[in-house]
Amino acid sequence: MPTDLLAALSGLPSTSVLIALIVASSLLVITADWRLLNLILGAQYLLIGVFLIVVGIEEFPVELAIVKALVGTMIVPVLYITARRARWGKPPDEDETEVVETPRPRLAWLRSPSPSALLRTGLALRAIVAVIGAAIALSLALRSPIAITTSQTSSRDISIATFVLIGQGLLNIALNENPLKAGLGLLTVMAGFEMFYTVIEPTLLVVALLGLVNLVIALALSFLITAWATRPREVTAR
Amino acid sequence: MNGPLILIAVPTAAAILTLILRPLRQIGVFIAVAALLVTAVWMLQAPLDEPQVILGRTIALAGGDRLGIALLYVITAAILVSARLASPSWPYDPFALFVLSALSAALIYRPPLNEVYPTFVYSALFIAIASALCAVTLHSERPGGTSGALRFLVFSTLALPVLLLADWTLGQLSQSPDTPELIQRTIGLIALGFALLLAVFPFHSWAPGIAGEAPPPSTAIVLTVLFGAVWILLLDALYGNRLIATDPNVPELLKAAGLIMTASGGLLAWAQHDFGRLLGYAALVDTGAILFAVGIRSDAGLAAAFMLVTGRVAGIGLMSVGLATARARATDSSFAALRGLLWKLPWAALAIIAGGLSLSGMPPLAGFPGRWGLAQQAAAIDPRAAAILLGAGASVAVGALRGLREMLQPFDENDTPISRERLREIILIAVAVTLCLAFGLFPGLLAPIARTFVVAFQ
Repeated sequence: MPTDLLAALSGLPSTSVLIALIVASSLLVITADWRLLNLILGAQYLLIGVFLIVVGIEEFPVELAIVKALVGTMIVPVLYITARRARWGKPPDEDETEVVETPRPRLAWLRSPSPSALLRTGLALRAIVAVIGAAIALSLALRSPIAITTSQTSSRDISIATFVLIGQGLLNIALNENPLKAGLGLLTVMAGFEMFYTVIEPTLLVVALLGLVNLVIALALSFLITAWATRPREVTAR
Repeated sequence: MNGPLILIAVPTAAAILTLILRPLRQIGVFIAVAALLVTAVWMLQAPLDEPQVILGRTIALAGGDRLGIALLYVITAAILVSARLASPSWPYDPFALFVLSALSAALIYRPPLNEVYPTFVYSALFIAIASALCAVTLHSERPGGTSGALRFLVFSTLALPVLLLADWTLGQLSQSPDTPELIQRTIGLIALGFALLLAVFPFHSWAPGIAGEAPPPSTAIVLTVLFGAVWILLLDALYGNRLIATDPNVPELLKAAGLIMTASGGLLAWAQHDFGRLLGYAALVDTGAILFAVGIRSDAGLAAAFMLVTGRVAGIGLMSVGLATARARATDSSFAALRGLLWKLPWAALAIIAGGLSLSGMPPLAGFPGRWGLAQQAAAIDPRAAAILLGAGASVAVGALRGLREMLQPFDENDTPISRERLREIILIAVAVTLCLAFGLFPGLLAPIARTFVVAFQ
């Protein structure tokens, strides 16, 4: 069964997996919902594992790709449980304050932006930033692909994945003060770097230690998210 | 068990013990401190420099690293004891011990990749683990305060990919050593990696952040133990690698980075309104001074760097004890919150001011000998550098004295009454002040250790 699964995965076109990876890392920048973010992070780690299998690196041990995906899937539950305990990022006193919805005049949107309009603006802004970030990373990778494997196509694909993941991760760190979003950015940067580094240094000890680093970062983020969740209301969520 | 492995196993076992003995924390910490001190004494005499095989790679612990690890053990033991006495509710003793364990591994596990240089891949990985463990302990005592800790986590983690890349390019360099472009790239990556770890300008924003909001013992662990390990690694990279050791740009880079850091810290230190943030900026000034001392690339420069590190440990330790004592009673460590502190908590006020002045390099405190020695050497190289170093120290002193002015204000009788210092806190502060004075008045006490340190890195 595992051999069948690996054979099926190996048959996937690497370009499709690469596109899915770029979309996932961009969605981590765009999305603000903590539940969705956890889901996308999990998908991103699985895609990294699959990508390392399908990209066609010569003599690359498949086990390392599986370890990468496994470490990622161990991080996601840690962050999910923490985010749930932190009430998905809501300030502690939000439920206590009763919001009374009053009917708005039809042309009210002309006078001042509503909270939902502001949210949409934020979403649009993040989407534009994510697309620009991905485009810059893509062009950088295509202009100067790192020659890490003998195959030019593999080197190009790995360079693109590395640059995009690092770029989107850095964007997430720069755009956010909240520990979950910034932390996901940090984990994405690490994932992007590891994709490149695992190919040039495929030793089990290094891979294991990199996995441990990721797990300890997740633990630290878990503590910081829990502490951040106790913030007073005036501290904004994004 | 292999000798070097014992140095990793002891703090790990002590951490597990303190976790198990959580209901009896005093006993757990006492056993952990005793184990650390005994191991520190043992490691200075044990034959650890004989090559040993660990996980299939040959390891030999050099003299400088051994002395460094012993000092880190002693500093951690001192922080654990002072945290028990001044911040009894600080719950992170096991984390501090796990951090020490990871840092010991970082300094021990550096197998030689080839005859040109020892690899620092594993060191970078263990430092990243230690940094992430430190971040756990750094969130604010105030609700929601995580910005300093988050920045620390981000910058210290970003150093990992940079250092791993530097190691990779070093590997390429050993195959084609006559490539100037590759040499510059490698040096650039190493400089960037250590700049991220040591909060060198412009990556410094987390240092005042955590010093202002994190519990003082946690700040002390980062600014003394973690920084100490990173300093040793930097010295190993500078002195243990022929390609870097012979490059003429490296000393200039170090001196320039040191001066920029000292100047930027000095520009902002005097204007602070919070003793915690003042501690952060003072640490930045001090880090800049140490970088400059290392950049001089002479025995006298190395000796000054050692004295600066010792003064830093004493100053940060003293100020942290004072801040911990004050914060246990006041809302925060801002000048406004500590107005009239001298009349209410005179010992805590003494520790804060003496620690701040020691970090500024004022005589006759522990920071003075190193700062004075460095200023003399800097004046011989470039008088402007000496002026910047002394000016930055004066700025930290002005910041501390501005705080003292607030502490001297008469306190409002209507304020909430606060309890006086307990006897154990007074004893701790008295011992710390005495040590700080002793190291300042009699720097010769540290001369034998400084000599060993210099010889180890010659």
